[in-house]
Amino acid sequence: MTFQKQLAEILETDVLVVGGGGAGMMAALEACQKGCRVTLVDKGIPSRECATLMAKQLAAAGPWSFPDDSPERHMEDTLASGCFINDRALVRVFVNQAPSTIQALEAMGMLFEREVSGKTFLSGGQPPGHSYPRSLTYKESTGKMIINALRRQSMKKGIQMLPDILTTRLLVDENQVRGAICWNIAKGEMGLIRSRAVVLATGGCGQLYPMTSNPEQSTGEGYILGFEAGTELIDMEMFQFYPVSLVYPKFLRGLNINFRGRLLNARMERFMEKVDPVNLENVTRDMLSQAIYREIKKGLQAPHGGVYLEASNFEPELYQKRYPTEYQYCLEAGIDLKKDRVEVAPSGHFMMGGIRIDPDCSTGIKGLFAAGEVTGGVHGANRLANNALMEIFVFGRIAGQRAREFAGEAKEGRPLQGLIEDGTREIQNLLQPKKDFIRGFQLKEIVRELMWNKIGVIKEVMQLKEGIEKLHEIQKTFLPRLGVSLFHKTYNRDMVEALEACSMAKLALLMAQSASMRRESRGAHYLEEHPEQNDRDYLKNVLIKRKADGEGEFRLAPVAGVS
Amino acid sequence: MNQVRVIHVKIFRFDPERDSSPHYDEYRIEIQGVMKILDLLELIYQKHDPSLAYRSSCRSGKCGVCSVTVNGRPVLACREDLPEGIVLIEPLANYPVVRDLIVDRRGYDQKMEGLSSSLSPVEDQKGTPPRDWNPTDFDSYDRLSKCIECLLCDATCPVLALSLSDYGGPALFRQDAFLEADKRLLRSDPSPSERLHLDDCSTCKACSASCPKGIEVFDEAVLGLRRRRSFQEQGLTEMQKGYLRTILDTGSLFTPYRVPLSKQLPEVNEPENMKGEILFFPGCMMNMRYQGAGKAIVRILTSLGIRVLLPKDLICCGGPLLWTGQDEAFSEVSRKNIRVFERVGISTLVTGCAGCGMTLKKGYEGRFEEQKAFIVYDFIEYLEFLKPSFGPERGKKRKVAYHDPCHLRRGQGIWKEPRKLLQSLPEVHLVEIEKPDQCCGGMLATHHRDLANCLSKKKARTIIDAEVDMVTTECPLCKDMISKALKIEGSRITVDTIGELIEKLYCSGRTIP
Repeated sequence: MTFQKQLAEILETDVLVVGGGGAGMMAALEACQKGCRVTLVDKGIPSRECATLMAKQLAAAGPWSFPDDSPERHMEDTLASGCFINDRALVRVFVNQAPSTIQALEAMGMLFEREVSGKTFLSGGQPPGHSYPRSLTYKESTGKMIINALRRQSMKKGIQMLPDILTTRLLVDENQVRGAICWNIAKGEMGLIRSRAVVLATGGCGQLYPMTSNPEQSTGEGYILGFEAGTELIDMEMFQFYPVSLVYPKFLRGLNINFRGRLLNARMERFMEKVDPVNLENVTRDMLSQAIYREIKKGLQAPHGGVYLEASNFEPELYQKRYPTEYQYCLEAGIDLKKDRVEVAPSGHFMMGGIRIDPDCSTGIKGLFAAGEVTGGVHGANRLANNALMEIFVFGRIAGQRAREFAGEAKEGRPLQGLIEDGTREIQNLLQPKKDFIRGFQLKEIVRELMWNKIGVIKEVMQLKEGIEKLHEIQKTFLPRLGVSLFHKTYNRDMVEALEACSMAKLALLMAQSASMRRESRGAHYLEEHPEQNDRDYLKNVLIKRKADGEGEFRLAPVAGVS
Repeated sequence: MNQVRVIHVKIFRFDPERDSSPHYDEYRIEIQGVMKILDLLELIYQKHDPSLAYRSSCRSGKCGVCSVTVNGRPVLACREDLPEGIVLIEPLANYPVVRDLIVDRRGYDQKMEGLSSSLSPVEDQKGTPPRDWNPTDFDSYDRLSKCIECLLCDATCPVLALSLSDYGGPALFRQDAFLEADKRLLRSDPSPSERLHLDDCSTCKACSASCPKGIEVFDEAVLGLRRRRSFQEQGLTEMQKGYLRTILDTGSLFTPYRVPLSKQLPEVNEPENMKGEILFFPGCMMNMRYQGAGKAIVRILTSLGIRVLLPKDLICCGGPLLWTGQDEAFSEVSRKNIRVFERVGISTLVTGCAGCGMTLKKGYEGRFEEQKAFIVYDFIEYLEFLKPSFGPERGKKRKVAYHDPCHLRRGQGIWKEPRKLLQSLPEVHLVEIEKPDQCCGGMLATHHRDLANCLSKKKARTIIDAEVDMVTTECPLCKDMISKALKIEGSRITVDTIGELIEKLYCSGRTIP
């Protein structure tokens, strides 16, 4: 019996898009031209189970902008926010193509808010770090409105969009991608998708932290898919926290709060008075996150593990108008933001690092392209607000186009037998009945606690070291023990959780090791022992490449794209 | 709230691999603190039963994938509090179950594909907005844009529950109306919803009530689409066209087959000690078919000291026209009635018909310039002001079921009042039937008799199952549908309007104090 026979389903396509969020949907649409067959797979329902739905604004310097604004200025702001380790070439493509992408989105059915004159309205205001207001919105549902428009276009084009397909391994032969192995969640079977090109658009990894605003699906397997396929990863230590998210009640955990007020620790001290007596709570996201994290680590946390946020110069009407959903949710939970203290803490928000791509979204592996949060380099050490939602469409478009072109030229390769055998091993192992097994969600909890405590908002050399040891330990002892409680096939949640947990454990280690490479503080990466930015030694990127033994090889490299 | 407590949970289970039919699993779960249904499902999956399958993603009411049915009501699991008592969790209704709480949403996607293929290319227009941009043109677009495609509206739709393969359903109509509201698009004519039987909608407004984002799905989407010229020209059924002609010709839904109530009773019905006066709007059903129900209201009100005016020249309220988008004809009809109101000079209107009440409240106000203000009450609402006291108990207690007319409960927000009233009647033991607010098909009977009968049959079955002595409701059209369906089902349970019930109990031989 060959493994081929055990693969229940074999599908063939020209371009396989992995991930049905904004980047993937855009890539699929762009690829689906000139007779190119496109298949988009998502582990949930495409366009529904993704972070794009939560995004509220996107930034681009275009015809709607202030006269002095330009892509150049947008680039300067992006680089300043990224502490100058952004990939220059990527940023240039990003800021230059952002305005035309906005127009393309409108042509596909998106509508941005406008002034009475019909001119696109800079309704997103001027978030910190931007020299000019340049953010476009559609109310608080910009991401949703865009992805819905893209989905309608995809449907119109008849793009095959398959839900409940979790991609577990990319098949690469002679440095060329040939398809993917996946787990069909609905059927409980392994499947093979042969394709001439693949676009990875799997999104981020906020689920690596105990609290996050990301959806449950943001477990980061795309980074591991890329890593194991042999792509380089860049700056995996650069993970952004959103400073003030609700800690309690549980069902609102991770809800980002968009207003600033007095922050108090358990002793009712306004601790920002010591951190920055002038600006108090009105500081950058990373500073605020660090200050809150420090209080929590000192043991000065409130009963549910956060700090108190108390309204001050809070304008309820304005807030209610801008963020009606948040306001409403809190009210329903019996919290009146006008007068009640709430408990907040930093939550996992965005991964700046990721698969290293060239400006044409290629990854170094022929036929493999990547776009969106799964890639790194655009945002450097800290993402400028409103750049994330813009990035996914700019690069989604490029990735789709390049994948289509590549698929048109790709030559047939060798049979995939050996690759498949290797690629399905992980799933086979999980499906082995074992005594004393650990379930996916349990391992996830272990990884999350570890990430928060050892590779958290503020990192410490010794803690990092301990964290890495523990993560190695987890790889050795827990991963082989991962299993499922029951062997029913359709929608086996344990199986999905286990596969995700496996990626999360691997990713956590890479992030921790990456962090230990950077002995300085920069952007979202704050190292207690080295609180200063050190441009002499670290105006560099941390690159990771998989070695033959499966471990990561880490090196510091000059910032990409700087001539 | 922070005490540990044990709750009783019952969950629908189905595994196509192992089960030939679904069953329910019961759990006793220890919980602490505030929880949503999704938290409960997660707890059960993690600690009690790893085989449980459900969907979840954003946990904040934005992705719309965790929709389930809790105690008979479609909800978002991540936003729904635990109810008191037993927690019954089932998959979303009206979609095929794949496993446990997961349903197959492909039916919706397929219909949506049909909708998207009819999109005229926006590409041609380069996405530029219309030259004369007026933000208010996009008000409807904005309201309809709040949809998260959770499909709760579809799950609550009684017509979709009849499993008609070619019926669009509210979620799809919302989608169609949203594209329609995008003034940049050139859409094909007729709109796809017409192919998807927009005319089959029963106008019960359950979709609007179920929407977690507050979209008035019926008013904004279904009615909006029905107002389209193409629907008016091609979408109306033969029956609807027939009603239009009859209403315009005779002023009534019915060609006269007997003397209408308004000509049998005096124009002014005097009470003994006058406390107030109202204009009684009988509506076609009470004026012609169920005159007893109309007489009962007049009698009860006069016995409570109200002078009841019943002008002879009132005509049909126009509801069957308004709610099918025939705005022009509706204006004509409503103008005639408003002239009567103004001639009589009374600003308080009372009706005992849920449909007329909704139409008068929602369709008449502000319809014409310089129109005088008037207030409309349903009979039950008005009765509350008069504070009648009933009793003491004389006859033996009867088990009475109450059916919520769609246009009273969702159309006017009145559902507590009739229950309170019925509970205050000493001879009545109020029994709640299953889904008392599910549409009986009344409005649908004016255009699709056979579909309407399917709905009234379902309603009759729930009443028979409840083993009551009688049913009461506050709408003569519902009375008509339900009593006929009960008869067909071989039941002897009778249907009275609330007015008829009160009259029977308290007006024969004694007056209400």
